[in-house]
Amino acid sequence: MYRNSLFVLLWLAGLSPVAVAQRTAQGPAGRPLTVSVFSHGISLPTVTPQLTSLNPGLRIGTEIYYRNRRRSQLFQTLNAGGYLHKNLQNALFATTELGYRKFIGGFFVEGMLGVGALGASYWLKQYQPDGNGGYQAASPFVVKAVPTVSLGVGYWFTGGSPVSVFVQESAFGEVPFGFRGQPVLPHAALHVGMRMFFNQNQH
Amino acid sequence: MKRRYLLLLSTLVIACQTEEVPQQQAGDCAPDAYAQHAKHQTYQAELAQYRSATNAPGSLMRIVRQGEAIWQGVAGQSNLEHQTGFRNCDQFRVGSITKMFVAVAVMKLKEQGKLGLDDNLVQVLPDKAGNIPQADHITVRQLLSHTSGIVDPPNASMSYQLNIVSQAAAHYNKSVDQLLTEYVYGKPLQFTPGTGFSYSNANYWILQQIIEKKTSKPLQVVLNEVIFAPLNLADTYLERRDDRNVVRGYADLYGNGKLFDVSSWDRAEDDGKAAGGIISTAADLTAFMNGLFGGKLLSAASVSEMIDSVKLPACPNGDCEYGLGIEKWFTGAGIAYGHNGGSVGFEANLLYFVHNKGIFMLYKNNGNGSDKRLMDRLMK
Repeated sequence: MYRNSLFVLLWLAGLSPVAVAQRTAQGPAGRPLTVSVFSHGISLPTVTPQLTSLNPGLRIGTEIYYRNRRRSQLFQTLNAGGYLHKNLQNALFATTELGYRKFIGGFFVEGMLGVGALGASYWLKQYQPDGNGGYQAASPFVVKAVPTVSLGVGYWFTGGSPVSVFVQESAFGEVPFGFRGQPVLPHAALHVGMRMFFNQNQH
Repeated sequence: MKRRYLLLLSTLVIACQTEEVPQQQAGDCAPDAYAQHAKHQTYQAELAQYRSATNAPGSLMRIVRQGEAIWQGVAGQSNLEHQTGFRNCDQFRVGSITKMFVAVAVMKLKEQGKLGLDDNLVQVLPDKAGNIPQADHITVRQLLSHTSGIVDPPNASMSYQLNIVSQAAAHYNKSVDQLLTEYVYGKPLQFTPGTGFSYSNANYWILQQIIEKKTSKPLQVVLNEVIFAPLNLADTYLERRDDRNVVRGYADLYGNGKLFDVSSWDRAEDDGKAAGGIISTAADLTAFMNGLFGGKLLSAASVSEMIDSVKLPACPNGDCEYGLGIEKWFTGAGIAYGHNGGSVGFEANLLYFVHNKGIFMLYKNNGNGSDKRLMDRLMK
């Protein structure tokens, strides 16, 4: 009974001998669609703030492969998304990152560095000089260039339609930011997502 | 279809609702005659220049000098959302000027025999043993003079600062004990107590607990009994209240000349706390300095002890720039005692000049630093 259940679970998880055997010498071809939901926080890249205060976000993206092998991938991501931070700002962003992914069996670890643009609308009111020595109301919307860094772990389900799932901690910063001498306003996001190949053609 | 969803999402973000900024409640200041002051034009021009140079929406200055009438002036605005002009009677956050008030309360307890300046932390607050290193070697005097070595979360802890930015309401609701537990307990000292100087707001969080323990009263009640009521400072308070009449605070967060209204951050960090929570007026603040240095609050010996600089290896001759809750300023107009106060959205300065018994009060509602050399010109 238990043995059968375990077999079914392993099969569903893509660990069946068939699935493993189908893994090609090279990684999957084509461009994946990556979708993740995340909790956003204004914090250094630690997980706790995102778990204790839920500020939801959604990110979609794809990847371009510069090196695509069975054991590793060198790739560039193209992402877009947004989040709602209930106490500070709501934002849309677009980012691109250069990444490296290392496979160990079906598991992988990945690291990415990149840049992006963040368009954030603050809850705080903003004012701009009126040209006469005073200030007048301004849009609370700001656009900033942001550096990004991400680390993740995941599992690659192989087979006819390769899918991987991942957990990723992503950080980006608004620079400059003037608060008590801190040069940067750090953002962190804890992602849970999946990567799917819809147009896979074997090399 | 996709385009429609994208447009909807973008609109939601860009048209995001912003926080409500309350309008100041109606009320007139008592009429004043500052415009008739012989130096009105000079003082007002200096104040306007100060406001302009610091990119502050508004500023306020009060000058008390022997031999001439008191002058006070305002420039600019106290609330940009409602374009409210700054008024002489407006209440504002004074930040760390609060520390002078708290130090006076401690000295009063000392005069009453309820507390010794050389009592150690474990004697007065036994729960600090095990929570703060060398608590049995840290004295009340060291807390007052920032020579305890205890860390300063508001200026040194990124986690503390980000908590204000991202969760101001939650931070506002934290008690002093919660702040100490989260940001101070278990942290190593910066130096052996009594061997160095390092400004720390946490010293005054602990002093608040000491005062409340020794008196069995909230700090604001003690301050009212010891300072506010005796000096009739009717517009000064520490406790958390509706702050719609308090001058708004602003900060240029991105260095682009635009200002955010960060009053909710200032409120979250300061209100109700001994490190920087007092809200007052220029008239009340100068009345406090008159009361302190005029002997209405403490004995001459206590005031002398407060202004006497701490003795440290770095300044063995008493030429350090901090006493017991009081800063010592070496200005172009002579030695002055008082305190600077500031937070994200404002800066305040309150100084007493020894040579002419003058009092200088300067405020602006932009939290950036400032060149205060106008004080040298005006207080000579």
